[in-house]
Amino acid sequence: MNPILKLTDVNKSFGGVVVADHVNLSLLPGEIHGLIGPNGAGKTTLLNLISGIYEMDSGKIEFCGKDISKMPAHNRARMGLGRTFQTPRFLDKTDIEENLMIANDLSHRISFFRSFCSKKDRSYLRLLEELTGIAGFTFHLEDDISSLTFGQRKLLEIIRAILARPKAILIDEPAAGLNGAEIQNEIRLLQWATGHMGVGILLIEHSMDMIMSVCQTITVLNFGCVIACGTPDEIAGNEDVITAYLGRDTDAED
Amino acid sequence: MTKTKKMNWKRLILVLVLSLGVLFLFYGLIPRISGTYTITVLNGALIYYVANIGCALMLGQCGLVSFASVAFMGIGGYASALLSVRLGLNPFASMVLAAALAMAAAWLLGLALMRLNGTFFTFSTIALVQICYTIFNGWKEVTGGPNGIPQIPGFRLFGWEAKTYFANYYILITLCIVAAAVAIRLKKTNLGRAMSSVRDNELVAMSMGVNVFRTKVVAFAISAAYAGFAGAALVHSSHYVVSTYFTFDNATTYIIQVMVGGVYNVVGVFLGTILITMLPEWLRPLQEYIRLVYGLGVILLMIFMPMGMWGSMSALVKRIKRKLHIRSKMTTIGCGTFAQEAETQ
Repeated sequence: MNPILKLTDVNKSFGGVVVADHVNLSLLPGEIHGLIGPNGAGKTTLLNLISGIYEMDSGKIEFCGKDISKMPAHNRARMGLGRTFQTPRFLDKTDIEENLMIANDLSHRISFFRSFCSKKDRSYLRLLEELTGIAGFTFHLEDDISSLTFGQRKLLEIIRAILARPKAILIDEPAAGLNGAEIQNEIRLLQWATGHMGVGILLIEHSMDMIMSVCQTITVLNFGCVIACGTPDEIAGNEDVITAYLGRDTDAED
Repeated sequence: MTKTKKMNWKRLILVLVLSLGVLFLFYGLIPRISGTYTITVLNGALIYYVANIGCALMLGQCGLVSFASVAFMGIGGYASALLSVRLGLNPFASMVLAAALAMAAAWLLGLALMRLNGTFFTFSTIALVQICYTIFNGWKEVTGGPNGIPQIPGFRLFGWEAKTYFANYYILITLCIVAAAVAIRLKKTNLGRAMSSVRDNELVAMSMGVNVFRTKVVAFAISAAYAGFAGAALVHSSHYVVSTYFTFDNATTYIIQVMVGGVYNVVGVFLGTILITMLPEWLRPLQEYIRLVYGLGVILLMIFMPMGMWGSMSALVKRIKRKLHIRSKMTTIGCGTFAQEAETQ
C-alpha cells in the first residue's frame, strides 16, 4: 500500500534550536500512527510543518503522491489534510452550526454564487448524527461553543475534522483533559474514521494506554530526531526510547 | 417530518408579517409623519447606511478595522458624477458602474494593504483616506477641486424623475433594503463563514481550507462596492459633489455609527446610523455643548454596550430566554433524529 503522507528528510530550526532534524515518516491510509516523545521533542512543530502553518527549512512532504512542500496551508487542507489542535480551536463569536458548516464547505467546495442562491445545506447532518452518536454526547446546533464542556469541544473538533471528509487527519493530544468514558468514545471515533473512511491518522498523545491500544505504528521523536519507529511492541522494548523517557542510569555504567 | 413542516409554516407567517410591517413603516408611516427637513436628514442617513453595511461587513464579519469606506465613497461618487454628467449615462447605470469601479480599486489596493497586520492595516486605510481626499481636492480638471461638480442629474427611471426629497427617499430606502438583504444573505454563504473564521481564528480558517489573504481582499472589495454605491447615491441625491464630502472626519463618524449600532447585524447598523445622524438634530437646543454631550454619550455607550445597541439587545433576549427556558426551534444533534430521517427518505 502506498503511504498517503510521506516526509523525507524534513528539517526545521528556530534560530539555533533544531526542532526537526532529518525526520522521515510515512502514514498509510486507514492507519493510526502514533507520534510520541518527551516534552519539547518537536511533535507539535512537526504537525505544524505538515499542515503548512510553519515553513520547513529543507526536505520534502508528499501527500496523496503530490509534493506539497511549498503549498500554502489552506490548499493542503483542501487536498484533504485535516487538523485538530492541542487546545480546541473554534469560532467563538458564532454558533456550533456555523463551526460545523465550515467543515461542510470544505468537503463540498461549491462556488460562491451557488452558495448565495441555494438553500442551507443540511445533508451533512446525517454524518454528523452518526459521529455524535459515537462521540456520546448531544448538543443544539444553535448554541454557542461555550455551552460545551472542554472534553466535548475536543470531541467536536475531531468531528469537525471528519466532516470535512479528509484523507488524513493530524491530531494533537486528543486525550488531554478528557475523562475515561470520553477517551473510550474518542478512540471509537478515530477507529470509525479509519475503518469507514480509510482516513490515515497521525496522533500525538502522552497517554501511553491510548497509544499502545490504538496505534498500528509508532514513531518516537526526541530533540527533533526520529529515534525509533515500529509496532507498539517493538517500541515498548526499545532501549533508546526507554532512555529518552526515563534517562540513563549513569551509576550503573561505572 | 410534520413537526418541522408546521414550524416552517409558523416561521413563514412570522417573516411575512414582520416584512409587511417593515415595508409599511418605511414606505407608509415615515414619509407621512416626517416634514421635508427630517426627510432630508434621513436621506443622508440612508446613504451612510449603505456604506456602513459594507463597513460592518469588514468589522463585524471579517474583524478588520478599516476607515477606507469614505475613500471608496469618493471614488464611487466622482465616477458616477463624471459618467452621468460627461457621458450622459442613466444615474442607475452609472451607480452600478461606480460601485464596480470602487470594488476593482479596492481589490487592487487590498492585494497590497492586506499584507499588513491588524493595526498597521488600519493605519494604512487612514493614509488611503488622506491620499484620496488630496486627489479629489487637487485634480481640478476631473473633480473640479474645491468647486466640485455641479448639476449632477438626479435619479430617473423610464422617463420618471425624482424631483422632490420624498421621491429620493423612496429610491434610497429601496436601495437600503436591497443592500441589507444582500448583506444578510452573504453571511449565510460559504464566503460569509470563511470571513467569520478569519475574524475568530486564522489557524482554524487555514486548517478548514480558507484562503485567509484572499478572503480579506474579497471582504475589502465587497465593502468598497457598498461604499462606492453609497457615494454614487450621495451625489445623485444632492446633485452635487465636492471633496469635503470625503474627509477623514466623516470616516470617523461612520465608524462610530457602525460601532454604536452593533457590528454583527444590519439592523444594529441601521439603528446606529439613524441615531448618530439624528442626535445633533435632537440635541440642537444644547447649542455649543452639543459636541460634549455627543462625545460623552458615545464613550458611555462603548463602555456599557461594547457590542453596540443591537449586541446588548440580543444578549438580553438570550438571557431572558434562558431564564424562562424557552428553547424555540433548537436542532438537537446526537439523539438519532437525522439518522432516522435519512433512512425513511
